Amino acid sequence: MENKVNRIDLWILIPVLVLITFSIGVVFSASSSWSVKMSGDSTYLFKNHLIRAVLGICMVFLFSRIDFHNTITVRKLLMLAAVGMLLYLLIFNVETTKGVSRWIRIAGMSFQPADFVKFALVINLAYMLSKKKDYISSLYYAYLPMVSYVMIVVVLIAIQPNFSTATTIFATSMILFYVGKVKIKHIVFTMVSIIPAAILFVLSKPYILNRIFSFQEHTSGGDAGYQLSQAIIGFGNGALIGVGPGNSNQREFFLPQSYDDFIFSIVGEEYGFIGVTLVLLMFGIFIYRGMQLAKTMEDNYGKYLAFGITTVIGMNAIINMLVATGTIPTTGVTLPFLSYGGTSIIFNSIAVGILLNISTHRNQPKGEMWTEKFAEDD
Amino acid sequence: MTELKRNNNTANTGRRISFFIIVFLLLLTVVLGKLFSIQIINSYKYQLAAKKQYESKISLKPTRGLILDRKLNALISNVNSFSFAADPNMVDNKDSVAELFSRVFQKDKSYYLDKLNTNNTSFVWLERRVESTYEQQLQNLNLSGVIKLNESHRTYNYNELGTQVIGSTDIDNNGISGIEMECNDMLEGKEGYVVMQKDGLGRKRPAIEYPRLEPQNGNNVVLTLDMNVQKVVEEELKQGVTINDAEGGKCVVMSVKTGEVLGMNSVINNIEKGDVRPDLYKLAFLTDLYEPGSTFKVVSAAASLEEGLENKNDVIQTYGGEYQLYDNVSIKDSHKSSNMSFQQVIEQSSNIGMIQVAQKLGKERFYKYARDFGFGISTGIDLPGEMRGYLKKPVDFSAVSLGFMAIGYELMVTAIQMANAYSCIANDGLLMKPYVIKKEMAPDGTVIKEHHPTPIRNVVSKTTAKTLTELFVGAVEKGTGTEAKIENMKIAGKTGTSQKLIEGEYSKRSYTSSFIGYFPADDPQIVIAVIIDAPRSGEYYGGRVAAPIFRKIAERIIAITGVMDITHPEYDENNADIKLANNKLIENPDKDKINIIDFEISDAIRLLKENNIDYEIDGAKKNAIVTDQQIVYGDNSSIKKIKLSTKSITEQGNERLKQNAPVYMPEVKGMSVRKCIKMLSMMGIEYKINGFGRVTDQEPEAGAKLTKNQQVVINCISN
Repeated sequence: MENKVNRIDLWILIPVLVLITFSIGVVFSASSSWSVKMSGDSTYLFKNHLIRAVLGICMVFLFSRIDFHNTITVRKLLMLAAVGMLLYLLIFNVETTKGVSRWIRIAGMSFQPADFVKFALVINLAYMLSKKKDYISSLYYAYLPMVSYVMIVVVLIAIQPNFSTATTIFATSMILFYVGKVKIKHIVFTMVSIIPAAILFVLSKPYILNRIFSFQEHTSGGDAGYQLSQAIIGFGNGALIGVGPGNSNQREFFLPQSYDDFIFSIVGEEYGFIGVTLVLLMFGIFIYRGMQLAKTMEDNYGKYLAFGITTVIGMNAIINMLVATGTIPTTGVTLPFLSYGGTSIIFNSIAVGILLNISTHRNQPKGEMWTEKFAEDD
Repeated sequence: MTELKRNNNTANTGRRISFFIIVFLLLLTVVLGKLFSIQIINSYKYQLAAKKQYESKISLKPTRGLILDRKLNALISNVNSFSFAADPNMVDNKDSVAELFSRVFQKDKSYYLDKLNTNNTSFVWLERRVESTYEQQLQNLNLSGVIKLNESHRTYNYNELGTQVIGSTDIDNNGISGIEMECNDMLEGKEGYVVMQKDGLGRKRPAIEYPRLEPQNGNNVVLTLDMNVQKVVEEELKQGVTINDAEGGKCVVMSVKTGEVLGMNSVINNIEKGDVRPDLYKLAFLTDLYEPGSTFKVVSAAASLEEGLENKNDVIQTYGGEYQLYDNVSIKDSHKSSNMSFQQVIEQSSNIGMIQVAQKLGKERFYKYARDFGFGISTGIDLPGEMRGYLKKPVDFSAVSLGFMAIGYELMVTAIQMANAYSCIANDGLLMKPYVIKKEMAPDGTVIKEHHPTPIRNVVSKTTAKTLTELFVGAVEKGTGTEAKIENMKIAGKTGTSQKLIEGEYSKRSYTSSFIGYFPADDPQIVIAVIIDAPRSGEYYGGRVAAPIFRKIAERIIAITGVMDITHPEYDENNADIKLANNKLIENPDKDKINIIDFEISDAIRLLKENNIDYEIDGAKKNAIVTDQQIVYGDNSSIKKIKLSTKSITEQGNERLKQNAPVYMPEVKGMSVRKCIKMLSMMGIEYKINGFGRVTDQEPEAGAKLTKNQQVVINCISN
């Protein structure tokens, strides 16, 4: 059997490196005033971010050298860990930000399990789609096992409550099912049946309604509406060429989460339309190459995994940018690679490492052998 | 069949992925489009919104630095007052705030309530510039949403003393002339701010406390000026202009060895109003150009001595007092003689003789020395708006140019250039760069920057300088400048009388009369240049008009400050006493008119003590100035006692503050267009500018009172 190993796809690597490097400068500027307020040291948040950015780049290279099929072996472990963390949050965690329990602290680093859970789920779904491809239209043997994985995760996240992440994970799964040739009837049925549940859920959580209404009023009251109008002022103030690196005014306590969910606005303010176009271009190249890789993969597990990873990262980026520009209501989604976002940069980097490893297998005609080798009976 | 199906399958999956590629890229395009709309099409709107909300960042004004004389007397300082403002959206209890303010300021409660109920604003003034007593009454009250601001204003501590050099500031405390402008960066300090947080509706955001950055106060600027010298200059110049009914006058006093300016002023005689006053915004000694006449003979004289062409005893043909320079150009001397020694040419200020000297020198050498003395180029003094004057190049000389230039015509100079050229001779031929900024000091007194004397070049040798000084002593002792003579002090100097060029012709009625001299001639310390513009009371010779003014200034400087004191700038009270004992106030016909009004009290006391005059003080004894004096005479009409009234400096300032200052046209001639625009816009003056480069002409002239919205016209040429 030919086992030619290709070089990694530089067109996936380069945009990621550009974005992470860029994030070091932007986060420094965006976080300095907040850092002073928190600890008196203007580099407090920046130092944390720098460590994680460097660690992230290491992860990209490390995981690009580990055969991605290894994820098959640990897939159940990952899923168990994911569900365990979500349950732990629900039962034990009392540390909350804004009344929402989303964070776990491990070894001094707080992290959102959701950042990890979404990749654990994608690995499992990609595996099942490739394993069950011969009887994929079967409701009992293929669809129900897969959709039950999805629903466990989505429900556990939704009741944190983290409605927006739950929605993105649900949407990612449905897209993955569609690409994996699950019966469209099943997908439609799932979506239709979940809508009433979602509406009920939204009605029970006033903060979500508040966000949606404040989005409609756009610049009016409320935390979220204020934040959004500040984000847009930031973009507008930057105009074509921006106010220059480190010159943001919005970060001076005008734009909350300026280093975090709304960092894109700081990019827009400091680097202008030129800067945001560059960021969009980087994500565009990344998404295009990631999906193109999925298209050309013969190995089905690699195909679905590549597609899943690209979709998770791409969707996060797009949602974040649509939120920051006021196109859709505010959700708490970070901008991959650019945001301060704590450990999310590390999980995203690991995922990119895996994606890069998949790209080294892109010309291997048949993936069954590999899949069989790592697969055990379900 | 299976193969076909598989291909079909793969192709199908590929198409589905392609679909999502397109969806994702489309969504990115949506973001791009949205950003294009925000950042390119509507950016102005958001920039405006941004600006508006940053303005809720209320700046805290730093205290502007002081301007002090060389002995560290503050010539200008700040009067502090307090202002109260409020953000209507943030005042929790408007009623109680209004109640309190109406009680303290004795105004109607509704007056404040109206202000506090203003909509669509985040800033209203409640009270502006109130005295500190009010501030104390409101100090300990917790008025949420009410902001207390420190507002300070400039006040001249000694009336108009030194105002031309000090300059002025606009309503926002930006320097717009003189030192205030030149040193604006040093003086202004760094603004601090209070950020008032609001949401999109301008409502209070409780989550974030007000961030506050304290302002950094400005640095102090120490000048080379000596307050007392300056006072003498101002008084005597004013009096001289009045006595001679002149159009104006300029005077510069410099320290010979260092190039430090000790005092300088210019006045204009406002005929309509009938008063002689300093032209507040005009540094005429730097900006006004005039033809110097005989005082310019220093160039040819120094050059021919240096080049070895003449000795002081060489005989020079003077043609019996009338000399045909060119076809129908003849030069006359008032002192008629067929020939003179070189020494006499200087002493009697013979034009014909000096033309002979210059012709022997030749135009190239003449030009070189004139240039070396600093004519036709700026001296580099650290004040804004200096003019370079005008010195023709040899190639542009006409047949009569050399002759005319040798006696100070066909060229333009400033008073500071003339003073500096004589200072060069007094300083053994070494030309110094004149300066007025001595040091920059932090508010706590640490010296940040100190300016040291800067030599420019050796123009002539020490021997030449000594010889020339000897000749200038002769001019004072037995020549044209006898009225500058002072007992017990050897003065070197030169008179100058030039006809003014009026409508293209040299006037027989309008003259510029000047005298430039220095002393002590054996070891010169101080140079004084006095230039009187168009005296109309009959006398017009420099020796008759300017020399007496020079004498009075010199006498008073010697008496009050002491010559030696100036050479040791760091004032030391103990040493000063000893030195001054040898420099007693010389018998002065004006002695019973001893005038110490406007003196800083400590200087006044020192002066009176030195002259053994008793005194009595009514008012503050420290940080005060003398506002009035009453002389009590004893036997033989000698002064027995002086009663002084004083006023503390801050009181004086407050009084002035209450007057609403009108806007006067500043002097902008000679400035670059950029600086001119900056200055005019800072003062809020509307302007129209023709051309570019350097400002050559302005309408109206400096000092004119401007009506509201009056547009001024500025003409420029590029150079």
